[in-house]
Amino acid sequence: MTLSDDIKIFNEKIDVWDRDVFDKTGELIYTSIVEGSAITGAPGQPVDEGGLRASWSRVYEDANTQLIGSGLSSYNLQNEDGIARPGGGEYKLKSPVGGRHSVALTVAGFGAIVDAAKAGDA
Amino acid sequence: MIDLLAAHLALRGRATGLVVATTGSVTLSATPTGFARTAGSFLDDGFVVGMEIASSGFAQAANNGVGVVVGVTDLALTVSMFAVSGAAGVQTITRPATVVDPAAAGRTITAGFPSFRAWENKPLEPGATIPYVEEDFVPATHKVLTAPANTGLAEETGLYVLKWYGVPEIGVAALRKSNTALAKLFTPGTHLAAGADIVRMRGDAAVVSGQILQMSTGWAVLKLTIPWRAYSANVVAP
Repeated sequence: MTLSDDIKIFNEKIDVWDRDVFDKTGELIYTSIVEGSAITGAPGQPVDEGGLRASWSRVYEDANTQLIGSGLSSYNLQNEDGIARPGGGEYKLKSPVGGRHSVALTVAGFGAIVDAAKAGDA
Repeated sequence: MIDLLAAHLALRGRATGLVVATTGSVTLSATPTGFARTAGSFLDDGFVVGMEIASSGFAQAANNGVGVVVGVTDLALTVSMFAVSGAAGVQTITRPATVVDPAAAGRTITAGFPSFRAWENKPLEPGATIPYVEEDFVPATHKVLTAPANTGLAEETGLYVLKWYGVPEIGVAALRKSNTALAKLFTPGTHLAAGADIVRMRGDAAVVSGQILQMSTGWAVLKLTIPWRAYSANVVAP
């Protein structure tokens, strides 16, 4: 085996590791926003009939892009920041599970999510 | 772990100390529609329509209070004063006009944090066209970074979110200037004493302002999200 072969094997392992970290990062982001996460402190989405949680999806736009979003824009936004839409004012939480600011907490915890994905301990 | 109540109150206290615009202590007079000056400029001082102001130092008691700016020129500040009596649910808001008060020195008008504040778990009944703020204090993560567990360094993170409801349909200046001034109180590296601990404004995920949302029933709202971090010595209870 030549040095060139060793480098090729090493690069292949790095590529696989990168792919694993990328996949795991997306999975942890989705979980943090939707179900909550000890890594970020996000409480996850509130649950009434389950429609809000079910509205969130994670799809691969291409090999290097994951899209995580919700189709319930107005309902989702007021559950995120507590600002009632369309009228404004406080949007009171009705669910005993989940809470506010899961997207913001996930963004603030992105570094911790990547660290967890790299460590493979989540 | 840190005293979360102290952290919450420290963040709140930082916000309520906000000064967006001020005349400083200068010579001012009052008119039936607001305040006037013969030197200096309300515009240069940073006042814009939609800001809530507090006035002080005037001889006539009616001129010392709070109001919302409805017009600004260099030499005149037109203000809709208001006064609140009673608690939320039974409160009464009156709109007393300013009264004529000849010019004198030592008077101040300041635009700062709204006097209507929807603190967490407290009722608030907003008044029409009077700005108000809602807060969310959101503790998030807690972990021990160093060994041993007892006396090890613990890290906690969270968010402090302020939602500033402003006067609608007057443009973006009042909300954006106020929000920017507020953000400058929480820039990365800012330290706040919280009991025996220190709350630090994060730099890896720093304070960020949002989009001005014009709501359908009479408010425009702008959110400020402040990520914070705090360290403390972990204590294992005996």
